[in-house]
Amino acid sequence: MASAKVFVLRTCDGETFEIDESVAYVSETIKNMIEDGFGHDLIPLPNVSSKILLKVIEYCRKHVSNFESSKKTSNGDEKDKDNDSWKKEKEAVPEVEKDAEEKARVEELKEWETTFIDIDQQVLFDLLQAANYLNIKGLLVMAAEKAASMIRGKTPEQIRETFNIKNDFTPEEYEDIRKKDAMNDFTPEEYEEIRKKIADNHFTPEEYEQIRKENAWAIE
Amino acid sequence: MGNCSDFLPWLGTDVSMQILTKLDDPADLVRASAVSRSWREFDVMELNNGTDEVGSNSSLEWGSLKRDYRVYALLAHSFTSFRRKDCILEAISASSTDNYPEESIDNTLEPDDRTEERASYWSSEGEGNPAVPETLTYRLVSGLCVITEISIQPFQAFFQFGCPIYSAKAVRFRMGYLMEPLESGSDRMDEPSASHRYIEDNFISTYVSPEFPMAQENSLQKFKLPEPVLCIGGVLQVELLGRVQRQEMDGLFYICVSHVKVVGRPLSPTFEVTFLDRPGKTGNCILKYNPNVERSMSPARSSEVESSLPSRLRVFRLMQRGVRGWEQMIINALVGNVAFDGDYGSDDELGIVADDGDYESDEELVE
Repeated sequence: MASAKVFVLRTCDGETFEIDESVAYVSETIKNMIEDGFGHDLIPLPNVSSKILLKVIEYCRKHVSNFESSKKTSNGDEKDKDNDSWKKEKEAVPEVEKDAEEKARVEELKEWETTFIDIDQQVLFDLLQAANYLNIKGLLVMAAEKAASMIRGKTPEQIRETFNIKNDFTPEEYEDIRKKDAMNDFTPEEYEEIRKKIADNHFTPEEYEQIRKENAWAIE
Repeated sequence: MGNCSDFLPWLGTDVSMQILTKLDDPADLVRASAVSRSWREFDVMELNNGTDEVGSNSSLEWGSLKRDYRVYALLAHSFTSFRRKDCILEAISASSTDNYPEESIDNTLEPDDRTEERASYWSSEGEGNPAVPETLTYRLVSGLCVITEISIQPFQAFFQFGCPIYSAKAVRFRMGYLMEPLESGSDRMDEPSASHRYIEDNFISTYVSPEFPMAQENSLQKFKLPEPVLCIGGVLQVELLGRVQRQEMDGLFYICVSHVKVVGRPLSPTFEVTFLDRPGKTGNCILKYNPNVERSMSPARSSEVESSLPSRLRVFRLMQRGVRGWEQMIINALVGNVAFDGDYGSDDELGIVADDGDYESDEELVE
């Protein structure tokens, strides 16, 4: 039977949102607040804006409906808590069909996630904060992966440019860092080349001396 | 937050760690640590040796100098790369326990002083003489760990009149190894005094810390080691020296601890140490460097690491005396500018030898 319980969340900018219990419970923080007895009135979320909460709720709803349809494809379960679940089978389906459905479900979810997380930086950071505060693990992991993907493969200067970060090292400090982390300014391709060269013994004596000097800190 | 400021400190430690730990390539982590001061402070570098750095079989045919340089550079780099974390794998034994198993040493792994059902702490047996010490022995997550600090919270008996705090006067730490390895989860649990006798007979300590005074306060007290220490063997002991609190009921002195935390950097599975023969006699251990082991998500248990021996293994033999110099070199790389203590002997005595497992080429790797 569909659960009739509904909760109201209020954001820091004064807007209210109604959500089902199953959707609310995706957030461990909200779940705890409800279990501690705070669900009867508005649940205040002073750290979350309405713009971000909309995104969060979108995620939670998708999470619940995806969970429901995965139960169906994995064990032919008839339970249908959520009104907008994908499948409405009335009887168990054969294994082969279930596998195909499961694959389709996973594919669809991936596509949905890619679109969902294609947001600009500020929204991404706010979403990270909200996912952390509301303790929604899946969302936090997804957003963190997106942020990491924006860092991977970039030199420090490129990272700074991407996120508009100021280089606050003094020239001496930075020189020190450069010496210690000799691979700093290499792109992944350059680094890979160097690694292979080391493995295949292809350095000239001069090159090798150069590398030895740069990495002297590691040997001395 | 405007576009001009740095998002990593703004997001806070937890969230930033979530992001940075997704950077598997060590090159990415190294570059990230050069972005700005706040990024560098996160110190999140973990070396994922799942990526194949040693490209081909020709690696085993390197000239000695190039090979040495490479491995040492990686060794030192990986030491700066591991995240500091809680290093205790399990509790081994306590010198005495009152009310076993309710007040057993396992409770010290639980950060709170109470769980839902009951209070969570270890208690010694009572003594009339307050000078009688106690020892808690733990196994660390890796046979090689660089330990920086240990935190201990004494237990405050909130259910006793006056809420007494059963701290010790002072604490001291020992690190080392067991001559005969103790099987994890063996019958020791049923006989706490037997396991303690076993520890007394078999534990060899390679390091003793200075004494730190302990406050009689119900707080997690941090004892920072004067310099980071490489624990070889994965066994750490907490010595609780002197008792301060008498229990009103029986007039005896007790020591009770609610939490022990050991912070440092585990070095496995990239580096492993095994002891040859009886370490006490010949002082030889083998340092194994394995660039191909997949980094596992959970702390490496010694049995699992041994069973996953890869096909390519760099084997270094270390002399006992040389181990000290090796530790120092690692720690130099780890923290930067730790002063080298001349007691460790000249370079000739370093005795670090690299070979390919068949012990043919005994070349000195003295730098």
